[in-house]
Amino acid sequence: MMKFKQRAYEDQVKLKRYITAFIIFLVCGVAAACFVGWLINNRGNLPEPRGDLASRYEPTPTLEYKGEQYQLKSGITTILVLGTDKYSDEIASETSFRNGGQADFILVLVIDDEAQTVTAIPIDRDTISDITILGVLGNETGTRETQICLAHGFGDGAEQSCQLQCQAVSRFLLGIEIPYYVAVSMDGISELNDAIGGVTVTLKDDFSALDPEMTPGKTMTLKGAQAEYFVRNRKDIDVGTNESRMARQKEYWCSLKGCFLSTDGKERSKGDIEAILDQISPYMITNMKRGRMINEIWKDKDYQQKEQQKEDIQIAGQYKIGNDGFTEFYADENALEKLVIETFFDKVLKL
Amino acid sequence: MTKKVIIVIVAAVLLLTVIPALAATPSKTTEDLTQVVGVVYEDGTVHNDVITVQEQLTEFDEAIITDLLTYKTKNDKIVDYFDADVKAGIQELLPQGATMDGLIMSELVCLCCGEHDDTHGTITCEYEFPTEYKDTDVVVPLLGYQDAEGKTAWLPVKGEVKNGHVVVAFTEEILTLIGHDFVLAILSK
Repeated sequence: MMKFKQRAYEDQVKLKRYITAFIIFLVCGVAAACFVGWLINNRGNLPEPRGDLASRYEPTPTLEYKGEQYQLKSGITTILVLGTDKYSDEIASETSFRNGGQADFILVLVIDDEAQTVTAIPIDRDTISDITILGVLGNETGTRETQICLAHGFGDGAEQSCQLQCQAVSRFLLGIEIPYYVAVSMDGISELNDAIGGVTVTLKDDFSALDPEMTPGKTMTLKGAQAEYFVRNRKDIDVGTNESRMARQKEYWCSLKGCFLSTDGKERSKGDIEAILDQISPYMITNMKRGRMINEIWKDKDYQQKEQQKEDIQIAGQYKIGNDGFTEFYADENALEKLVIETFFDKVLKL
Repeated sequence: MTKKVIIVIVAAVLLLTVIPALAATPSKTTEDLTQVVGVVYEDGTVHNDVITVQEQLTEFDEAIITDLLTYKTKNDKIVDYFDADVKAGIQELLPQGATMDGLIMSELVCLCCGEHDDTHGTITCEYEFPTEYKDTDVVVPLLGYQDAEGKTAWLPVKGEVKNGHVVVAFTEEILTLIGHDFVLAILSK
């Protein structure tokens, strides 16, 4: 009898245990289901992952130059600034892969957050370098050595052309990555010029055939089409070379720094810069987010352009007339290597 | 002293000759990468004015280009754009054992044929394109022209790669067939 009671008691305990385990399992299951449901609902609201952790520990690229070790600078932003020879409505209607237009103005901007400097490297449109060729129907058909500005001609005249130009300039700069581009169409020059209230320059050359007001020696604030004449026209101005046009483009670019001041001399606000960007955005192709671009422009206000280099940064080399009768510019390899090292690399200190 | 003066004069002369030359050159464009390098008659004489690149695209040229671009956006294999007999002609021109798989249309140029008589025999034309072909590349030139009914017809012809350029031989029969305005497309892989 006692044995029977004992067994019945044990069975009761077992049953209680099973019920408790089942309830715990049920609660856990419901909780898990709720958690999964919450995750699914809030997937879009979760903070963005802060990059691949592994990439933070990737070794910084290094190279040896003249017996010393150099490593790629951290905290630099490289932007390719292009001026193309097409109007914005032509770009929008382009459907082929060979009418993207040439990049007549090529400038590499290097913003160094650590050194707080902005370095501008102008590249001659006629620089001979390897560019990617797209076939008539858009297939890649290889690379060839030719004038670097032609890289933009392949592609859609918009993002694709800019990417091809970035690739070509990157190859020319010994493989330096150029993640961002900003391309302005021909009609964007006068739009930008007028948006900032005009750029003041002293004319060294005679533009009177294009605009009677534009006589040599005159200091004037360029308005509308005058800005386009100043930076674009080549053949009938001065000696007529691209080199002399590049000197004018550089003068204009440097004067653009004045865009932080309004016409009445007051400092512009970040909002003013945003408004200027909005005004020229229909003439601009870029892969930079609006906010990022405004911040980078704003940095330029505080960062000193390398004053001593602003006048001097020029890739040394030689001009030739090619067999096809077109101008070719061959960069001096040693000078180019030195420029790339100085701009993008830091010397590794020996301990 | 005399040497120095001579060096300065030579440098000045060089500068004065180079700058006007550079100033006179037009800016190169992507269109300038396509050109007829040479048009040679059977007797070896050069007649570069006989087959030239169209300066202005004709309606026929534009229709062909638009049609090809439209087809390419919806289809992967450009070879399938052509009729069965054209495809058979392309296959015949491929090296033995090679298939049409992987053939792309890498180049297309709109040409026009100028004044010529029937005594020149086969005309050999050398074309430079933006694409620099290798001697080992398989190329099949295709001539697109308007047939007697006004429809677009395609004719695969023999071609070879020389110094990165494509060389095409035009027989008198072909020249009669293609008429004044025609396009040359290059299939390659």
